[in-house]
Order: sequence, then C-alpha cells, then structure tokens
Amino acid sequence: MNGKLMIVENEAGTRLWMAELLRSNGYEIREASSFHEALRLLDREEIDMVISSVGMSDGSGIELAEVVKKRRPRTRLALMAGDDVEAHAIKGIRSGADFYLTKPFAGVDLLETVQNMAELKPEAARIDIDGARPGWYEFVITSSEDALIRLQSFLNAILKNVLDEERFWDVHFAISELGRNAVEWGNRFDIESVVKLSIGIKDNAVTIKIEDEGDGFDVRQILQTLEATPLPELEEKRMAESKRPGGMGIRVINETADRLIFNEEGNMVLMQFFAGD
Amino acid sequence: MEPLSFQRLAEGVKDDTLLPSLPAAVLAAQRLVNNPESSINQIASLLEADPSMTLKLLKVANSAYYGMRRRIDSIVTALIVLGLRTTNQLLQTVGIISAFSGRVEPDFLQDLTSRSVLVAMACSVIADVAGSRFNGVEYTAGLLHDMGHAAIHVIAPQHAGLLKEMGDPFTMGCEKEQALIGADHCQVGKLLAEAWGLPDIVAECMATHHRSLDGDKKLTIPGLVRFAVYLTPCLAREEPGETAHVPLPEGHFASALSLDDILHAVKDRLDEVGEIKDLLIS
Repeated sequence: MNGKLMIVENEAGTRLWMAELLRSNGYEIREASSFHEALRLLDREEIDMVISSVGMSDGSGIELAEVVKKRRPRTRLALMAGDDVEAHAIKGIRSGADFYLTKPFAGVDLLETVQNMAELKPEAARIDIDGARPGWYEFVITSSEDALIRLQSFLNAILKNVLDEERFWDVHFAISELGRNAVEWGNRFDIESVVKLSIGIKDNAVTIKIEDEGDGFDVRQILQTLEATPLPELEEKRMAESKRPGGMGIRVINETADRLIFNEEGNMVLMQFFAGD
Repeated sequence: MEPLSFQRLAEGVKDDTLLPSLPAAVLAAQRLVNNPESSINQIASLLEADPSMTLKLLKVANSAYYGMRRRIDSIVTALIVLGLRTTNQLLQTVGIISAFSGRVEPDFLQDLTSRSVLVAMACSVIADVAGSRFNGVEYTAGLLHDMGHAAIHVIAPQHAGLLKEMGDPFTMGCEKEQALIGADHCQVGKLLAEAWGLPDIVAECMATHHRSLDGDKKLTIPGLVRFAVYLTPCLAREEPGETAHVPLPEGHFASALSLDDILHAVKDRLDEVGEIKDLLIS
C-alpha cells in the first residue's frame, strides 16, 4: 500500500475515475464530494495525502489546504483547478499547498503528482513569494529539486494559460533545466542556499530570470563548445560520460528561446520566449 | 540676516512656485508598483509613457552591477532584471532627484542623495536582518528623512549658505541650526511632509530622526530611521569591523542584532548599488 489518499472533488465522474486509477496503483482511497465532508473525514482518520479541487459549493480547496496544513502539517496536499489559474496558483502557494494540477489532466499527470507528493521532503522544498502582481511573480525557493518540482507545478498552471502546448513545453524545459543547473552547479545542492526565480508575462512574451548564490561559471566557453558540436554528437558524448541527457539543456534552450542572456558572473540567466502567432 | 520664523517656513513650504511637488509620473508609477492588483502590463505601459523614466530603468538594468552580457532593451525585461523591490526603490530615488534637480546646487543634491540613499538602504537591510517587513515604507522614510535640508536650500538659500559656511549641515545637529538660522531641518521636514501629503509615519521620521535612541526598545520605522542615521558615520568608515563597539542604550531593539552583520550587509548592498546611484544622479 502506498498510503492513504483523500480525493476531494464534487464532480462525481472525475472523482470516481481518479479513485479507480489511484486504487489500481496501490493507494488506499477516501472520497469526499464536498469541503465539509473532507473536514469530517480528516477528523476521523489519519490521511497521508489530499488532492482537492479548488472550487466546491461549500468551501474552497485553498481554504482546505490552510486547514490541513494547520491541523496536520505532515499531510501532503495538491490542488486541482482549471479556471482562474493564475490567482489560484499564487493563493495555493500561500495556503501551503504542496502541488498544483491543472485541469483537465491525464492519468499520467495525476500519478506523477501523487508520486511527487509521496516523495516530497517539505523541509527542503520551501517556496516564498517575494512579490506578486498579475503577470509578475518573484519566488525564492530552497535550493533543491523538490522545491523546483513543487514550484513548477504551480508555474505550469500559469504558463499553460498563456502559451500553446509546444511553447509551454519549451518554457517548462528551460525552467526545469536552468533551475536544476542553479541547484546542482550553482548552489551545489546546499539547501541553506536559495534560488530566485522571477517570471513576467506581458502580451505574447514570457520572461524568466533564474539566479543562484554560487560563484557562477564561464558561460561563454560552454556556449562556444556547445555551439561548435552537433546535438546528436553532444548527446552521445554525455551518455558515454553517464551524465543526464538534459545536461546540454543550455544548447537546446539557446535554440528554443527567443532571447537567452547570462550575466558576466554566470549565476543569473534571463530567458525570453514569445508565444506563437 | 533675520532668523527663519516658523511662519516664513510654513509659507515657503506651501508655495508651490518655490518648492517642487513630487513628479506626478513617478508617484503614479510608484502607486502602481505598490498595488498588489497592478499587472505588469499596467506598470510597463505607464513607465513606457515616460521616456526619461524608461531610459533610467534601462540604464540601470544594463549597468555593470547586473552585468548582463547582452543589452536589455525592453521595459518588461528591465523590470524582471531589477525586481519589484529595486524598481520601487529606484522610482522613489528618481522622484526625489527629479523634484529638486535644478532647484538646488548639484553638489548639494549629490551629497543629500548619497546620504539619503545610504540611510534608506540601511533601513531596508536592518529590517531584513531583524526579520521585519515594513513593505518598503522603511526605504521611503530613510530616503526622505533629510529632505528638510533641501527645503531650506530652496526657501532660504542665504540661510542654507550660512549653515554651509559654519560646517557640514548634515552633521552639525538641530541645536546648532536653530542657533544659527532660527530653525532646523527636522521642523522644515515635517512641514514638507505635510505639504507633500506623505504618510504620517514618514512625516514622523522626517521630524524625529535626530531624537535620542533611548525609547526605541521595539523596532518601529521611526526608531529604524534614527538607528540608521546614528550608524551613518560608521557606514562611511572603511572597515566595518571597527563599528562593532557602537554604544547602544540598554534594551535598544538593535542590541539583539549583530552590528557587524548589519554593517557588512549595508556595505555590500551599497557596493552593489553605488553605480546605480551614480547613474541615477547623473
């Protein structure tokens, strides 16, 4: 058994589909069709994880997240919503929710989110919102992959709202790659350090800044090497060195981003992606 | 030369042909940046409508401090590079410089701005070190605390000249100012804050920043500004290590903080923004 998980969803069809899928993957499932039913279940039973819809007739998932985190800080919680995602995502982070799942989602997304919840180490996955204005967000996260994955679940909701699918994946990949670089090579996995991530969405452009606290690296040399070598050759070389294939992410991002600017120190990167037509 | 009467000061401060108002564009931009409901679209559009403001923000985003390898050429990109907090601080600093530019001597304005930015940064850093959030009001209060000096320069240039002849107007103290010209910059600062419609807490800082630290047991914005002003001579020294012996009244809020940490953090921040400040002043 993978743990006890409560699904809070007032739409019966969705709830049943989720419950069936998760049961068949080894989770013990409890179902609640409303905010108050969820509270009653939480009072009665030890629940390890909650996945809750944001919009319910008798309360919101964000309110539920606040209650859960106050009463049972060790319980993991993911929110799911499909409308007003930008506001919900920011409120969700502030409420202490761990992850965000954008509706509609596929079974594989649900399983991945639940898996991420199960594996999350909250002490190493802190997200602080340094500033938030519609279209302009500044986050400070613990220097860990957990924090990055957590943040990306909320960012995905915001980005899916403004980008077409192809462009969304370009941006998702870029944040994932350069965020991991900041955690891994910049801050050397030191969870006392932080990574700052800012995002600006205006008209048809998404601008992202990622900054770590490390000493930086020689971007010019890396880019020159990467640009001089064809991608398949690079991939082969990295595989031979047992490095993760995404390690050459800068090269890929250099091709997909409309602008990619590093600072001289090599510990800050600015990327800009224009949406399609 | 006749001493400055309260009546004359009050009239001078209210005379909008004499004293500047805060530039409307800067105020509007600042209001937008401070409002959590303002979108990046609104902020960028407003800034883009003011070419001199756009130019200044781009200059700073392209400065050596940020060290970007390629040119930042759009206001949105500049905003993301600078961040909300720095953008807000820059707008305030630009506003003050623009307000007094051309009305007082450039050297005086440069000294005043340098000193004001130093105190504003110190307020911001001390609040961070103490774990307090004043939502940027501490920066505003630090930046404006000494604007009474500027007002005296505009209203009564002869009196300001006398103060300058008798020493450094920024450090001579209110009693000496009173004795020499019949008024002090704290009184004038309070009048200016009222004329500008600044929040009460900022007006209080402009009026009380030279008072004793004795009553500052808890961290408040006026207490923070007093402490930052008190630290200014230490901040100007080369080695912050010397400053660990700054005497503090018993029970002062800063007794629980590490002065070395504060001074190093302020100096680091000043090194970072020194160039930015020069860019703005130029």
